[in-house]
Amino acid sequence: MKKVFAYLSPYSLQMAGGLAIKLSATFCELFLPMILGYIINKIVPRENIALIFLWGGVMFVFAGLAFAGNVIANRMASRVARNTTERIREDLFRKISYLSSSQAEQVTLPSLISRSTSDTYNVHQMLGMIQRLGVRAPIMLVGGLILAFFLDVSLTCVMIVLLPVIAFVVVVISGKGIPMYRAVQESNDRFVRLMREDIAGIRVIKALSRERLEREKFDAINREVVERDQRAGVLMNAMNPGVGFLLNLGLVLILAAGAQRVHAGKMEAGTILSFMSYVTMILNSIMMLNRMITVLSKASASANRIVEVLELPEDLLTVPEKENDPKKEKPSDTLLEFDHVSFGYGEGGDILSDLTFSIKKGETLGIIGETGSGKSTILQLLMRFYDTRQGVVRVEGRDVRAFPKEELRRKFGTVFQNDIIFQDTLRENIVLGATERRTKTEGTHCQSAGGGTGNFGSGRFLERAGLQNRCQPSKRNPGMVSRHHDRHHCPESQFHFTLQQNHCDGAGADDWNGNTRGIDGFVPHLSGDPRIPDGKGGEIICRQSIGHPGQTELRIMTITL
Amino acid sequence: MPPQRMPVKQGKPKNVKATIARLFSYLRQDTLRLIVVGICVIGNTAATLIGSYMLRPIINNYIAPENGQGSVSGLFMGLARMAVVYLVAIVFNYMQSRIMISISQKAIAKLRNDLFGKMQKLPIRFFDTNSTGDLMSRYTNDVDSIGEMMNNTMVQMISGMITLVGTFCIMLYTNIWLTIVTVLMVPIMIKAVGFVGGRSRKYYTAQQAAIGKLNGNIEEVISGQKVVKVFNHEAMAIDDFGKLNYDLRDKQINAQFFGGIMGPVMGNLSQISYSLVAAVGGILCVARGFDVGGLSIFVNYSRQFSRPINEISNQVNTIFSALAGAERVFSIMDLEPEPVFGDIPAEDKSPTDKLIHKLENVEGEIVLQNVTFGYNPDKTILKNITLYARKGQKIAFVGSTGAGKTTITNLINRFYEIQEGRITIDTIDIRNIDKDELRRNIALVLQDTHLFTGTVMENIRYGRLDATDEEVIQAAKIANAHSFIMHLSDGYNTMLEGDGSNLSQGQRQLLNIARAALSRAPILILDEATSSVDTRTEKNIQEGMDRLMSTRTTFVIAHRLSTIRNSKAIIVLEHGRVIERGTHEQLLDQKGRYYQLYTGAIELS
Repeated sequence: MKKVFAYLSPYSLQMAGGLAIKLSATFCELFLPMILGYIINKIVPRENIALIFLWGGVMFVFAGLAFAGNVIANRMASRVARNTTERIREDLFRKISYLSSSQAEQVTLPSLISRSTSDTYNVHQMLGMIQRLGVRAPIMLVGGLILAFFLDVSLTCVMIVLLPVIAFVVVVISGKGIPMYRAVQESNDRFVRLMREDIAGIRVIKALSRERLEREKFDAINREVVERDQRAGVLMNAMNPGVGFLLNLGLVLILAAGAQRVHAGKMEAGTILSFMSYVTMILNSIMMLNRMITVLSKASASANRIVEVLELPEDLLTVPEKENDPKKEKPSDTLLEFDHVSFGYGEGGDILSDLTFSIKKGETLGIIGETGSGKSTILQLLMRFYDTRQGVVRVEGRDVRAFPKEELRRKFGTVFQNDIIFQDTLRENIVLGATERRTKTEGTHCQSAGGGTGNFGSGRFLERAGLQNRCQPSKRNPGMVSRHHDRHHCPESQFHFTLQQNHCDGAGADDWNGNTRGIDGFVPHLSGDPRIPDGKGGEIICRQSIGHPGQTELRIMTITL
Repeated sequence: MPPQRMPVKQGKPKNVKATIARLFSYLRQDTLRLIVVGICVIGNTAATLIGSYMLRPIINNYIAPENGQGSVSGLFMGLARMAVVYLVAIVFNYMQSRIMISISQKAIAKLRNDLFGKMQKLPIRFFDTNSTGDLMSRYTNDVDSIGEMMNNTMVQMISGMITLVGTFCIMLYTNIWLTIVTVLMVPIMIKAVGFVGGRSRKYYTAQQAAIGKLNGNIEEVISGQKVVKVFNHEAMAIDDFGKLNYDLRDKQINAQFFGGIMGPVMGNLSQISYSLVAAVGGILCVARGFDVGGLSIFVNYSRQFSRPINEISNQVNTIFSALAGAERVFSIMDLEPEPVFGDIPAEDKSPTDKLIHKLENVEGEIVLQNVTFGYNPDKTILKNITLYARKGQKIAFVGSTGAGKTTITNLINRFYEIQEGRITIDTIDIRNIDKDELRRNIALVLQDTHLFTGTVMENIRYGRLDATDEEVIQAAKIANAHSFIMHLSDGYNTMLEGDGSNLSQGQRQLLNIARAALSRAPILILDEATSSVDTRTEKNIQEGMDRLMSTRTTFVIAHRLSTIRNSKAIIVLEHGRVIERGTHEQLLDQKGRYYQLYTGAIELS
């Protein structure tokens, strides 16, 4: 929570001003009952109408000042709340953008979305309320008590006795409230997740006619959210009548005591009137505090969720070289290298196990393997979406961890294979190239904005990447992508990879078990063979010269991320 | 060209009453409990009013007695009675809020359910043209603001009305002049509410829309996180977000400017009223012998009089947000759903056309006859296509991007309706078939996987809900998914995270294929179903798939020629027309387009 309040600091001047105005306005309001009491006690007996008018006029002025002050202060408050929330939202978004993939996966994407939308909303409500009620309520409370004290000490003492009781009730209830609201937000996350899946996957749902099933799922999560919200709401609502009862009890007691004192001649009737007005004010202010506490509880849970993300440590930091790279003398034409790399996602087992290979400048590397054997993973490690568990990935002889991420990723161009550099030894390659290209556009019905190439990556992706904004994207293929349509857009790309799901020799579908022909470079085969429990990579099954002599480029195609 | 937009309309101001009425209809399911709430509210308000009135005799008789002192016991009796009345008020208060929360939550749940149900029935075009995040925003932000209104505003309104009326009566009874003074302020207050309220309403609508847009952007970018990273577009994405964020702030300024005034305006008008009453009351005490007790309770009541108006004005923000939200929710619910049966133009109707809800003994013969279609009326994708497939036949589509292959599958599934021509299954025009029934007979395997959060077993079972575990495993074996599933941490009970992100793309596709293998649909459409699967695995699948396909009619779209080589017919599409047709060998002999594609002489561009 504190961190959220820290966002208010640039506005401290504004807030101070607003506070001051609100303070004065509230004071003006506080004096009204005093004046009333005075009128009744001192003025009415004098039977001087002119004086009554005068004092009535004074009250009027005070009321007017209070009015003006409150309007101004409230506007200032809402401005501050709004601006603060805007900045929180932006910071949160920025943080999320730079989160590493594993961090994002840990929090889960739906939760990130929910935190950026629903939780910031709760915080916004709270910030506004705190400035308005948060000032007015305590002041009325304290001011009311002080003025009441000023009017009559012993009556005030009666009231004061009650206050700790009330405070106790409030604290206990709100203590229970915060975890309840956290539970509500967690249900919200699941709700968001279901909604996303159902909206994004509507085609499959319709195609399989699963609408009813999805409705049932929706109904279930809907009810869960509602139940939790209800439970929290009911609890917080118990405060109102509880506190109200205690306060009204106090009122009665005060009346009793007051009547006694008037009889004893220690107090005037008009004073009781004022006193009662103050009691009412105090009552109201405690109710206001109640309301605030409800909002605070809700917002507190939300604020914690937001801060949780904001405080995630920066992952995948750039690590300066000297510390961790013993082998720096490498032949300078080695462009990429995997050095005994092991890696797996999350808590799972290793997907890559002690993998070692390297590519020189000008070489083409074809990576072949079964589904799930780790091909895309290699690319993700190259671009440092994740860090290895063991071993080192090197680009241009440097550990990838030593590069600032933007610099590293700029080196990779994801390119369509518009040009065919491989001849028909791998005719599948053509097909593959076509596959990548076709992948998206089929659903997008986009006009090519760049002219010429006519093939774009997912319109939706491009929209995100801001490369072109004219298409109305199709909703499909959010996961496939990273296609860049044209080399011209990434002039600094130095190398590109080819990822192929081909046969080793491309002659036909039957030579899987490897004929070694024409060894030039080698192609490590990543075996996802279940017979090898660790899916050990690095086993060379076939070698093939894929590269065309005289080639000067490698190309990369990221198939999926 | 993108599909024609299916925009969601904005509500018009004059529909306020209709919107409110519609919202209230959601409460009608709980009429009985609403009545109870009403009783509680009346009870609460009445008790509060009475309790306050009981002060008058107490003050007059015991505190500021005009004729001698009253007895102490009388005082305590009076106080005790007052305490009891207040207690009653509080009990009613608690019950009322407790029940009201429950009622409003139920109404919200129903509203969300209705929205979801209606949304599901909308045509694909809607989903293609509206952002996911914005749609989600309607379920969350918009519905939430409606909920707030239902929860608080309703009760405030009722209790406010009653308090107003009751207070007015008692005031009249107490003193006419002071009543007039108090009431003088009311029209001013109402005018103020009306003025401020009217201006802010449209701002609230704009605000909700801006929230929707922002949420849409957030959802998209967060979903496409990795993509953004690859292209180092974080900075740009943040920039774009910043603009939307700022825009929202702008709209909020306007909306809340007026909303922010309302509270203090009302609150302080009532203070003014208070001082007026004090002054005039004082005068009356002097001039007309108005009793002090009467004055004190009158002061109290004038406060109570303005409080409901005060509260209601505080609720204005809530009400307007809710209205704006309600409009957004209802505008989706009011969209045209997918027609169950299609519209067959008169000249194409045959006299024996009847509408069919259940297909029996589907052979699976599909015929497309002179089909013309475009997502947009001015851009035709398919031009006069004719093709057919018989039971057990495997027909492949090849062609460059945008040639229309996936479009054909969209049409067979009636995701979109054709403009000219007809499509028949077993000679029945598909427009005559209930959409659900039609789709139940077609197993569509898209390149997109829709894996939901659930176990692997559940995900595969999605293909046929009543399948047994053994049948699921059998299907997984056909799809060659069984081995990798067994290698997962919990096997078939492994939980898949959002869209199966803990699996590789190829693995997801295998699950997709397993689903298709599980379903018993007589027609199978595979649209790039194995594009991410490596060739060896695909070969392994091939035998199983071929067995599956032998009894079904299959349409295959693939770029991997090994997939389509053994098709009964390969259809080459170009710019929406069929340019070549035949078996693999025939087409190679023709040395036409297919030959060129196959030998790699040209690219598929």
